[in-house]
Amino acid sequence: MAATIQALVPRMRDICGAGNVITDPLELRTYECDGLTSHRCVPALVVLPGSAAEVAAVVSACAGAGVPFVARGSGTGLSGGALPHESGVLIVMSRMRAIVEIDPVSRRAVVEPGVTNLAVSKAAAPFGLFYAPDPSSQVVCSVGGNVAENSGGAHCLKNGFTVHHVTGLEIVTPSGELTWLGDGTGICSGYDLLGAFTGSEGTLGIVTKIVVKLMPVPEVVHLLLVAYGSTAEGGRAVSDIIAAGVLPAAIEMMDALAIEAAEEAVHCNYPAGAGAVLLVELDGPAAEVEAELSTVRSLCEAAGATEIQAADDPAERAGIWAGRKSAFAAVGRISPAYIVQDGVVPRTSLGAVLARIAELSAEAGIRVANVFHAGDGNLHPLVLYDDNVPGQAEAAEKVSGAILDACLERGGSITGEHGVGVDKSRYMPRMFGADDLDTMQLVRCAFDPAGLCNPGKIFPTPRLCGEVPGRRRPPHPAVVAGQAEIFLYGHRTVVASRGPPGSCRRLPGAGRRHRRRRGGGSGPLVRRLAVVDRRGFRALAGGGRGRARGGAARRRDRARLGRPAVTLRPGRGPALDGPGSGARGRRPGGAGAGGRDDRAAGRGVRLGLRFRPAAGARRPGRGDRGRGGRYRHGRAAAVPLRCPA
Amino acid sequence: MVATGTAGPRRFRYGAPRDLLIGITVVRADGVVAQAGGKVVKNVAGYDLGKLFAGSRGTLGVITEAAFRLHPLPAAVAWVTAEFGPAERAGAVTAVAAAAGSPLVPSAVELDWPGGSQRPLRVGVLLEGTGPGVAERAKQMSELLAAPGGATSVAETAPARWGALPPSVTVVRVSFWVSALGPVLDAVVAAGADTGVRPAVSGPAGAGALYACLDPGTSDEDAVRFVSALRERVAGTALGAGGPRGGVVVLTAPPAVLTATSDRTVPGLALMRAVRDQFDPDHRMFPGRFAGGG
Repeated sequence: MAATIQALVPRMRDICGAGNVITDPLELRTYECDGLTSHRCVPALVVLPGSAAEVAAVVSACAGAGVPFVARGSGTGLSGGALPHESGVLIVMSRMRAIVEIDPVSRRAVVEPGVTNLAVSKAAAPFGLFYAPDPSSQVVCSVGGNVAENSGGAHCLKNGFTVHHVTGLEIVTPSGELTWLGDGTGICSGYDLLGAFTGSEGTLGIVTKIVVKLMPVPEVVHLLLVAYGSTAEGGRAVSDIIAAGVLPAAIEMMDALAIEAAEEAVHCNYPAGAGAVLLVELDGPAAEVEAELSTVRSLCEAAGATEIQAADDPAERAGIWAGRKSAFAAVGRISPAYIVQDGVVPRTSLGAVLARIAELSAEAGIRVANVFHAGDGNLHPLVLYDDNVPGQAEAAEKVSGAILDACLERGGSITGEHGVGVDKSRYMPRMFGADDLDTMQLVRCAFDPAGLCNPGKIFPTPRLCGEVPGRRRPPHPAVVAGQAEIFLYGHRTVVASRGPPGSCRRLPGAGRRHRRRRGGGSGPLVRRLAVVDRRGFRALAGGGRGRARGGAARRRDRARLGRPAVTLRPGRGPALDGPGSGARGRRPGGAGAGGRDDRAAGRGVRLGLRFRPAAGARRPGRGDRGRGGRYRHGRAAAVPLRCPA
Repeated sequence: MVATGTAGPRRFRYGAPRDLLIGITVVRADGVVAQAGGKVVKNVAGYDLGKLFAGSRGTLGVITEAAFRLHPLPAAVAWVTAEFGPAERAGAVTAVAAAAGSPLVPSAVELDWPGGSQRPLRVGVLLEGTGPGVAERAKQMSELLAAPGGATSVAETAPARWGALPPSVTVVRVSFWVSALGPVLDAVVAAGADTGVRPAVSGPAGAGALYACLDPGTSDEDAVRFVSALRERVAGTALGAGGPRGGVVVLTAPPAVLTATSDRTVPGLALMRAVRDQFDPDHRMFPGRFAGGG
């Protein structure tokens, strides 16, 4: 455990009580991942605050020490949004689960963030009300997590997402202050920070209280289970239903492979031999639903339905929904591993994209099961593979990347409800330009200038915000003299890399090179790792393999590099990425380096100072990678960033 | 509309522009063109800048393109109205809450009170859907509104003044939890009595908002005094155990009134300032329109 974290432990114990601070390495492992288990990282420290004031105190302590922190709800997220930081504090909100207030007349409830989604509906049920967003994990997922991810659910087609149902938030800002966003009524004055905060994946602060809208329970609910020969026919029915002006509560589709899996797992008795099934749920006032039901029935028949089952009592409906809701888990029975994607396409492109997915699947020999929210074009292709077969994991990753490309080509999105997290940040540049991402990060900078709040999520390249607090330092003389340049490199450079963020080698090859040259000391490369944090830019204590040079070289290094090498002062200071030094807040890696996915930095920006190699010097290559193995680091060529002299 | 975040009666069911905006292209104060969101309804990639720009009054950038989610036009519509005498204010309040909380899925629940203790109050409910469905729901809604003593009627055309505010220069919006509608109406009357103005009150009461419109002849001093009196009186109803539950905002007014009444207690004002400083550090975009003044 790093010294800074160690120093925080007693303070955290004072704030939360000794029993709510976890330092035991084995217990810490419990929190190493969220619902996306392919990314793992053991946090340095876990705290479980019990009140908003405790959260504020914990965040203040972290901010004061310059330690990153990540909030976690129930850990059901599917994009690694709550993936801990290896040298940071994980703030677990599950002790804060009080339903503070329910006002049935105003149809509002005030809840703490650890309350589960379903608990809100249960508490509201006696008043004939319910909480509309219903992600499939609603039994365990927390409302705080829903706010962070702007969760949807099967019924968001009609009712909207979390952002449409939250009217006020009490948050702890990344600097540790407690404040409200929104006046609790859903009618905002000033900027809609409430709307911007919802879905920010824990990067703008930590929610400590949530005001949610409750809706009257619909008079009647009808569910239709419609079987088709193919997903294309089912897709046509979906378009026809929406075109007819009917807005069902939910329209879900499953293809043959998903049906097979669900049937095996929960015996849901879907029509045998169907190429696709469509679940259409209609709810509302009895008088309206009757009329809609007959319209939907005739449209489904016209699109070539082979069988239609109707269910209106709760038990029957639950039986039919069981097949759909268990689909993800059920697929686990027919494949040892799978990747869930979350791409969205305009509804009119559903057929074309499904055909493309089938094509990709056939080309790669990788099976893809489709379970999705057909009504809003939100696909959940489950890319099945066997991680014991060499090469399959990579092939599956490739297929799932190609599926997202197909979605984007048709004007869609890379994620409809799971969030970007660490998992999809590398796809963000495919959807947004550098300016778009930069603009989003202006919001981040306003909330979290120090970049300590859930760093490394959403954005492939962090932006350095405003003035970095701390003592101003002059640029390194070598940089000023044009003899050195700053470079930035990331980790997880290859798609198939299975290592958790931060598991990369610090500086591939450098150590070995220096060892080889030990005693000689005449190599052209001098490297030392540096970190940027709220105190500015400094060399890592003892870090970097430059040490291996030993003796006099080390002392010389220290004189040159042991102190901060260059001011990262993105205010009106020198830009790090070329011309336009008057511009505000340039981030390293901006212009030329934007769009690379190998800098999804799990632990903030890492910069190195590299002395320019003499002409003809060998660049680091494959041989410099270090040991292979599970956490093998891919090719991490330095991205040179010239510092304007 | 996006920049001001304006919404009419249908706000009750469909929300404000921020709720239907799915993609946006803006020009920042430094000339950079950026977009966020997209063309699909369901999308959580990146921050939702559309939310931030909706209601920003042009202080963060210029909106050059916006994509919206559309809803199907209803096959049939009906307006159910209920008139309540001046002495039956409590009945109107009950009717609003009953309509807004009913599973009949109204599209709008409006309260219209031309002002003054001698004028009747009108609760108006808009129902949209299929022909037979709307007819049946209108019947049920009539019963619901008649229960607290309203004289109800059903029509296929909008009642007078539907979705329109009375002519006025100063419009003050009060937002509240619906359970506080009664005290809010009392507060408006009392604040009017304190300062000698007689505001007309109208708006989507079922969604938790009302507009108090001051007569065009009201002097600036009276308007300022009315707003501060209203703020003071509403503050009592707008703070619950669970945090803020409403506020008073001056939407339009003569510049002098706007300056004198800018609300410096808006939740999250410090963060709003920080956001503005990031987007427009020199405050060149529409100075004076920022919430909280400046």
